[in-house]
Amino acid sequence: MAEPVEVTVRQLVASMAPHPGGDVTDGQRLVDDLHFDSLALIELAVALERRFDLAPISDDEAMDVVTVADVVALVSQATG
Amino acid sequence: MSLTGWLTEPRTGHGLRVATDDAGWARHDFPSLAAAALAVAGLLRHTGLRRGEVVSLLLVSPETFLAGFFGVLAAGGVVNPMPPPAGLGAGAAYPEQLTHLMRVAGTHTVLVDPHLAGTARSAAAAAGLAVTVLTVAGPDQPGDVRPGRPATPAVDDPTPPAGDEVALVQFTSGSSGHPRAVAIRADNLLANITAIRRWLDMGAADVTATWLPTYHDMGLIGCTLAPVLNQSDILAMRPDQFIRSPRRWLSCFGEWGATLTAAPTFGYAYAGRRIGPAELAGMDFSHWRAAIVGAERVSRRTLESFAALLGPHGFRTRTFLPAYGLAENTLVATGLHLAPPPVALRVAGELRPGEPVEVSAVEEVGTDPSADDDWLIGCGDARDGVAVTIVDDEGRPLPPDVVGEIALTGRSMAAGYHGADAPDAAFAEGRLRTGDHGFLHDGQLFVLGRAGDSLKVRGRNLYAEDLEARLAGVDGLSPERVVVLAGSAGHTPVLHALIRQRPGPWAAEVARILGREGGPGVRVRVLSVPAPAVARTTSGKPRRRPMFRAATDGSLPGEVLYDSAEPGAWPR
Repeated sequence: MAEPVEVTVRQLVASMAPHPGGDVTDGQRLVDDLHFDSLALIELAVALERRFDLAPISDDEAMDVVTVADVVALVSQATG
Repeated sequence: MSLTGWLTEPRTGHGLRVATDDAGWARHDFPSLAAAALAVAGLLRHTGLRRGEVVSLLLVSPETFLAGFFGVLAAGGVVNPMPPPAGLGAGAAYPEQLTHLMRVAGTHTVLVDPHLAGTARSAAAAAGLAVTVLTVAGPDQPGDVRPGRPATPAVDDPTPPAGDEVALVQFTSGSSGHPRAVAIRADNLLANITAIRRWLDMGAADVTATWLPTYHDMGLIGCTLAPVLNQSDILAMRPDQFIRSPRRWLSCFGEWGATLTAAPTFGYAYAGRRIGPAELAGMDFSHWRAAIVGAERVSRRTLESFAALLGPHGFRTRTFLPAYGLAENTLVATGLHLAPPPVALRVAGELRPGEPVEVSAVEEVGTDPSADDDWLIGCGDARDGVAVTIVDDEGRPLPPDVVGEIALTGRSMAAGYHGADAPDAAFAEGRLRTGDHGFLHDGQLFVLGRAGDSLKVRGRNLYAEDLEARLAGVDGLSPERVVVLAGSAGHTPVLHALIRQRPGPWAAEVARILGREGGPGVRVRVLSVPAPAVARTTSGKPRRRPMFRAATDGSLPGEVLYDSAEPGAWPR
């Protein structure tokens, strides 16, 4: 893929965040700042799996994801 | 009827089918589910559980959840479903949330999936509770209970809660930090399940399909307990399986013969958005009898788009059953009858409490995906054993076509909030004041939204009291000088912060916190008000509803320091 992972992840998060408008930054928390609810979080996980061709994200991996930077790290690790 | 009658006479050849991750279905018939539940009951009795003690469930799979749920009841315990961690983003806050939930529930024992046992133990320790943690495992895992291979003798004489004993402690979907738990009695639960079975005319051949989580009231009572007590088939998916493949949910009806379901508006909107006509090839929806739509504002456009997509495959608009309910009334309060299509109603002018509604148009919901959304959808009439009245602030009944607060009475009305020090005003005088505004028109209930002390955003309740607590830490602000009002003005959810202080730098922080808590689409206003603007009850509590109306129509004295709807409002 042409764009670095973090750029694509930020775009994807921004397009799916229930809180509209504005740039998404690494420090923002998915739930507290961007207002992802439990269903929107599942939508995001599925979108990430599709976009980066990942295996389903396990609960254990998901537990540690709080911020946008954590999402980038999760995807970077999984895509190696 | 008793809550556990089916355990000793389980119907053979029918039961639960659980969606597997390889696109198949795992079968669990009623006899095997009953055996697993009685094994759980045996273990609970063995550990010395006493009647009336609260057993919390942290069980993800529907079959282990059912074994746990009915096992607790059979042992005479009070059952309390808890939400498991919800995937991405929720992880770090989850242990703390669980600690809080255990305190609110007064958890005595937890039945937990093996992978969550450690989390449950730490949460119990942090809550300062001596909680017994028991694992319930699937067939291939070790655990304290293994379905079909009980380590302790199974119970053969279920002694479930009965009559006015509390059977279920049900969390409402509260804002993250402060959920409330409703104490639902055995007779409430049976009355509401009976009302649902009669409403849907549930028979032995019905098949219920669900993707809702079992810890949620609609997923639990409507989609799980009603069919289990009816001993009819259930097709159960997890929410993430639905999000991954909404087509699979539709295939329950179109290919597997499911006849009944319930979901929030979101579910129908999401399926309609994600699925193209080509993916429905070969499906037949003509057996689909009831699609309950509840839990949030019903959207006309969503219903019509969904019906337009599925219509060519035999789906009928009259399958939609818009409904109104809440955990404080066990689950269902009103719902549309089986036969007619939903009714959409348009009103002229403003909708104000105590004032008549001017209806400008009434239409049947059809199949036009471009339908405009500025319509109210009728949520039917009161279900069996429930009575609905619209009342004013003093609780006096109002006539049809006048806006007021929705009040409920009847056998489904819960005992109150669990563990509360004092009875809550919402349950005073044998009547449930729901805090929702609405009106009755032509025999149907039309729901408008919250009345001043809370509001609902995408299925999540925000309570004014909780928001006041969030503002307590703002620099330069005296907590006793803050009153938050939450409600819906027309279609727009609004939060007003009334501060009895001269304007100061705290205003920006108050606006930022409320903007964050409310989220998108919620209007936030911050006002500096004189002392007389704050109305209080004789016991000193803020009278939020009249103040909310005054703040909304502009008659409240004070200076507006911030309004997110005004140009030039500070960025959030």
